[in-house]
Amino acid sequence: MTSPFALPKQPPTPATEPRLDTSAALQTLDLSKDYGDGMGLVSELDLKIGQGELVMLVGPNGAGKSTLLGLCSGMLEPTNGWAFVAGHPSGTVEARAALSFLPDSPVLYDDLSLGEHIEYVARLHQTQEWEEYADDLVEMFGLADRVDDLPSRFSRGLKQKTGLILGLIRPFRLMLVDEPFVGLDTPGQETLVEILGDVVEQGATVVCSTHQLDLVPRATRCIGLQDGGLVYDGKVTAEKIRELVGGD
Amino acid sequence: MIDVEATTAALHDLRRARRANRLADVHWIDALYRVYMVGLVGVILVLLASGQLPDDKVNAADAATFAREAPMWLGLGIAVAVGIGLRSGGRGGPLVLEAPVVMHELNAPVPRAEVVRSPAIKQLRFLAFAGAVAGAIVGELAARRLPVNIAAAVACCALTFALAGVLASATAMAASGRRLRWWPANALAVVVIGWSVLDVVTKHTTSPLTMLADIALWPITFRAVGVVGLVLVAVVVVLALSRIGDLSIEHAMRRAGLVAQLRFAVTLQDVRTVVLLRRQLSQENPRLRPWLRIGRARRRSLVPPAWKRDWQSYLRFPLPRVVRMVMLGVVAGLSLGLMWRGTIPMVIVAGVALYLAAYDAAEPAAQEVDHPTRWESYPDQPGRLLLQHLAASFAVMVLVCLFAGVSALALAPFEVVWKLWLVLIVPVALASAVSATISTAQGAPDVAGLAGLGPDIMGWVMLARVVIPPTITVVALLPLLGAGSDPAQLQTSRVSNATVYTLFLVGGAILYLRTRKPKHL
Repeated sequence: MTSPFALPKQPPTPATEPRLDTSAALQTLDLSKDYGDGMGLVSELDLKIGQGELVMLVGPNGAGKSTLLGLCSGMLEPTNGWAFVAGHPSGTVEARAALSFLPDSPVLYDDLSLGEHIEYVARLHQTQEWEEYADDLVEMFGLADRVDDLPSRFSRGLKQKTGLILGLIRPFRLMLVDEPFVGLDTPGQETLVEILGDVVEQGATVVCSTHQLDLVPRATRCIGLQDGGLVYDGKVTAEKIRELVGGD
Repeated sequence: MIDVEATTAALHDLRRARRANRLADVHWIDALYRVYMVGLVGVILVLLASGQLPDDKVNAADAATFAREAPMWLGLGIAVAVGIGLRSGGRGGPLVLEAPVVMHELNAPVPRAEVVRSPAIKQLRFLAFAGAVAGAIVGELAARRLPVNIAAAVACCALTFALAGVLASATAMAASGRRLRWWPANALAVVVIGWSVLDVVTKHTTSPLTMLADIALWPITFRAVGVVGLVLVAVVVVLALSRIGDLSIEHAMRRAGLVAQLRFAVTLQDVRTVVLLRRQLSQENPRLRPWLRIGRARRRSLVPPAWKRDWQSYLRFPLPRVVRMVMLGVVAGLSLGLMWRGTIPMVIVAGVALYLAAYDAAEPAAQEVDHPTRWESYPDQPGRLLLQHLAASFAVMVLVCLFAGVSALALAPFEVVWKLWLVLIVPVALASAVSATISTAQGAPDVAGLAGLGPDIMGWVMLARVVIPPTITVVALLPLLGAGSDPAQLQTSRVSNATVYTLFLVGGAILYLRTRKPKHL
């Protein structure tokens, strides 16, 4: 009999779950998601990603990439299993403090300018001395002269850049990024590759759902998904990515 | 270490800044004009409603009977509101947060209750205000006929309606904060409504919602049992706010996206999009397995493809949609029963109920409108295809009218109902199916094109788009007015003569449908 309440279960601890590694940047244990219609979006996924890794998450359309990132970020609730961010169950205050999530389409306020967005997000996450870094990011993405404009009226590409700046302005140990290259111009794509590389060099972990081959030299690992299940976990090569995207 | 106080302070600071930004953007003259127009329309409606009431006061004995029985009916109304609240709470409602609030604020290291409490209190405050206004109007109208002090009647009715609004919303919040699933939420709603129905039937006060409704009647008879209703509302509000931060982020994000689109569609008066989004919001999806599976057609089948496709669609209707259509039929029947007893304006309620039911019946035709590329790819005139879909929606509306006829028996004698039903079934079912198909087929308004006509003309055109389709259904019911109120001398011939005009109107509407073409956005 299903419980009348859909409250989350008590999360496991290292004492109750020997597989749980609290030093991992991201860990999933038997993580599953479906909508009760027998169509599994993610099925019993066990993953462990350490600190300082740049992981490319690859798979054909409908493989479960966005669902996996949504589950790890706490935006989606698992049907079964767990996701841990820096040793904390996803969605908890500690996990939210350690995680920066950039969904595939940027979510922006209608009534805040780019500058006001940056301040809001930085302060909500208690970023220290964010002003100078904000100026650098805005400069790198070529938005220096748009700081006082409303991003809700930006083009798709500029909105994407705004979303990236908001994801980067706050402190994090793990960054989950869903299709960040979509809509970006070539200089924007190059800047993003560079920034993601820098972020990893500084010790953070990045899990990026993308087929962008420019990221291959910087990536340390590739995770391939198909039909919600893990089909590959290993080194990154352009050939492997093409094969995984093709879904063969 | 996370300094929750600092992040919470940042949240409040920046919310103040956003509020200041929004206020700076408000055009005060426009806003005041809108308030003035709403006030003016409200006053006119109240005056019109009070004009419908007889001016003579009821005697003390009748007032006492009214005070004894009215709380049960009012309690049933509150129970329906609470039931709707429970249904909404079981699907993550009633709060609608902006998508960026979910994305940035609920995902920040700030206690989620801090983020959600303020919008929750704002919603409770708004419903209390709206309820108080509605209650005050009801109190004022009731005081014209009942031997009560007008100020007391206004105050008590305003209090009851305000509490009812708060209770319905707080129940939904309590359900969503505790992650009550949809099925126990629906079951609880049935129990709450059933309990109130029991009070109505037995004429005994047992439900706390009847007790809450009792407050409205305090100016006639004070019964301390009303205090139970007050306590109930206080307890539910505390329960709601205590766990408000535990709401589902997944539901919150889904609702945020849908409600933003819904508001836009309402602004554009795009009725079809509003219907589609409302269905998504209440997760009313087609059944994966149809109620009955219609097999593949034989090679030389004479069944028209549109007819078969339409029934395949109906057989995938989810249960809530089927129940809603039946209930709308029942509402239409009861309204027509009241109309036959002398409350003439109920014909509008009946017409609107049938029109809404027909909106669901017109779903297969709406699918053509939603997919213009496919619609225009068929080797036939687009308008003819719409008319082919009309046959199945007419058949469905005949079934809905059957429920209307059965429910009308509660208020009108059998010999009246069956005779009038036989005369009106075809024109009414056809008119409702045609009116809903017209509303669907006209698609979203061409705002850019209409803007060229000037704001005044544009306003009238937009109004006509919304009002004309349900009016067709209401007009189809008007021949009933000629039936007379004496069951022994029922004027069925006058009714059937009048239906000829209805059929002319429906014929014109069908010709209009015949001209419809796919519209690409």
